Amino acid sequence: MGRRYRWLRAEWPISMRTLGKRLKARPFGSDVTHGFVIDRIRDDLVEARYVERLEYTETITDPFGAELRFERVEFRQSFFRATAFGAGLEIRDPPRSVQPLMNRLSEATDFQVAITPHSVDVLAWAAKFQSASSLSVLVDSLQMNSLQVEEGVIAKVVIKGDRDVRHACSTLAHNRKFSLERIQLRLAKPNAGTVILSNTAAVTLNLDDPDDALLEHLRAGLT
Amino acid sequence: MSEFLDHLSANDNDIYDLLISGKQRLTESVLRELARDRGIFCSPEDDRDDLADYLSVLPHGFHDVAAIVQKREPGHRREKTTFVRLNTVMPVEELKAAAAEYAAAVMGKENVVYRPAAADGFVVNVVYDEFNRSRTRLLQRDRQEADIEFVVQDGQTLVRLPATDKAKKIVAALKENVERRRKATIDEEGIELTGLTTPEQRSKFFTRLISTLPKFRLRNVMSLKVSSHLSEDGEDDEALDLEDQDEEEAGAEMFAAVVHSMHLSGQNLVQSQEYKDLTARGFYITAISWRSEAEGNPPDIIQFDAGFQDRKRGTGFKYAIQGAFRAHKGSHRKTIVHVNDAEKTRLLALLESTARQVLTDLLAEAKEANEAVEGGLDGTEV
Repeated sequence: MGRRYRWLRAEWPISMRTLGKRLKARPFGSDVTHGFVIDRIRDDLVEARYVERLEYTETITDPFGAELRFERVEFRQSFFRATAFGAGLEIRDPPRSVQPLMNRLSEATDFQVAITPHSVDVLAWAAKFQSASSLSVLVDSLQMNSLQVEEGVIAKVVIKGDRDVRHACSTLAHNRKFSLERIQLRLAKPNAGTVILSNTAAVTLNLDDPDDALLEHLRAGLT
Repeated sequence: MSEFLDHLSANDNDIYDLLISGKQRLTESVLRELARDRGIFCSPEDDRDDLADYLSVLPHGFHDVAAIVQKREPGHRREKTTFVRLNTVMPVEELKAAAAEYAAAVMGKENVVYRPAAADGFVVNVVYDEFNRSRTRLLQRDRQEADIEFVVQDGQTLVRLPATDKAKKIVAALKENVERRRKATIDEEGIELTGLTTPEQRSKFFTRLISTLPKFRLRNVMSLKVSSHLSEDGEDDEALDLEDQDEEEAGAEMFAAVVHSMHLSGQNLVQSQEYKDLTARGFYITAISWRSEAEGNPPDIIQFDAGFQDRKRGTGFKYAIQGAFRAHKGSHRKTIVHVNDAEKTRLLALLESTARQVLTDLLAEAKEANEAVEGGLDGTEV
């Protein structure tokens, strides 16, 4: 299973040290249902986790109508990295909804922070990534949406190939309007595997040996 | 003679207006049913207009018309709630007497029912008619209901009422009845932001309210109303510079495009860039609707709504529980459902106490800030 990252644009009104301090004031523990666990605070970044404990009762009815009840406990964690530079907020393996995290961050900053989606041009991002990392990168799959086939008719297309598919994509599109949603980059050794970039500034890494340098290049490519 | 009858009976035109206006309630199938009740089958190709047209020329007795009017009535309207606190304990007997007095005063016009409720509470239910002369003849009377609840809480009486003018009048009348008996005035306390003058403090009231609701955590803000502190009918520059005011105002109206208020709707609005830009330009929140998730079991998501009747002055706090998204297998159901009365009362009470607490805190902070500013200006004695 790959590791996913997502970037959101955030403008922090306070310094990272202050943010760290405020998050520390809302710690997660056994006596509270949600809070933060701080991993790292630097002058320009905070790495932390937002943890929620969810308790609920699951009811299952057996074939004879008797109810079985189970008390369930779940933990939801959102790893995030707030930075004073770059995109501003990076979330690792984001849960289905990042709303709770966003609201807690808002509360910590007295509702002064703006967190907005980041949309990127995936091809430009991929190009920057390639030139920065100087790895051999192959675009072997891409997904386009809203390809205008006819007036009022659109197609969603996934293109896969054993070589660079960008040329095939432009042949298919043939001057028609479309939006590029996702591209998959295949990396040669030593980091064999795939990197999927999406236009919502999200990345899925399926690599044998992911390293931080790679991630750093991806972050740099965003801005 | 015929003119006199016109006042007492409904003619075909009145019935047509009645049938055609209630698109929500009197649907095509309801109209067909009305015809079927008379043993008439209409063509399935007739549309609503044709059906209403045909039905209206049939003979209608009083009960026929009354039945249509009843069908046409909208389902119980959900008014927002508001509350006042009276700084005294009102025993049930006293309230009963006051309610009886009120009932006698409005005999024949309003239907007053009152009963004691649990835990020294008292409920007055008033059914009254509202008239709207601009509507079609058979729809001018609108039956309204106001449920007024008195709850005794730590030495004070909390009155919860619908946020309508009529309900406020009823409460004022009841209070006056009690005051007359006691020969003493009773102080009222409500949520008013008149003491908070800056846009930041006004907005803070709402952001604190949504974030400090005990046992709840904020999930989503879907609707925000913001107003500018420079909004219309500013009472700042009254009566000064009378002579050149006219000219200046005319000039301002001619050239300046001014936004006084805005209604934002969407998801996670308090995190949006737009909201941030607006607050930077001096806009503040005057109404909000948001969802919070309950802590504990079951973790339902409740949708709340709060705002002020008078946005500029920040008076007439009103609020509502719009419904709940029930927790289901670790996630939430997609449809909003009604919240039952007991739960609603609990949630409203929570909202009230939080609003009071937030306001007290903010007023204290505002006072401190003012003192700090004054101290800074004088700067000598400290």
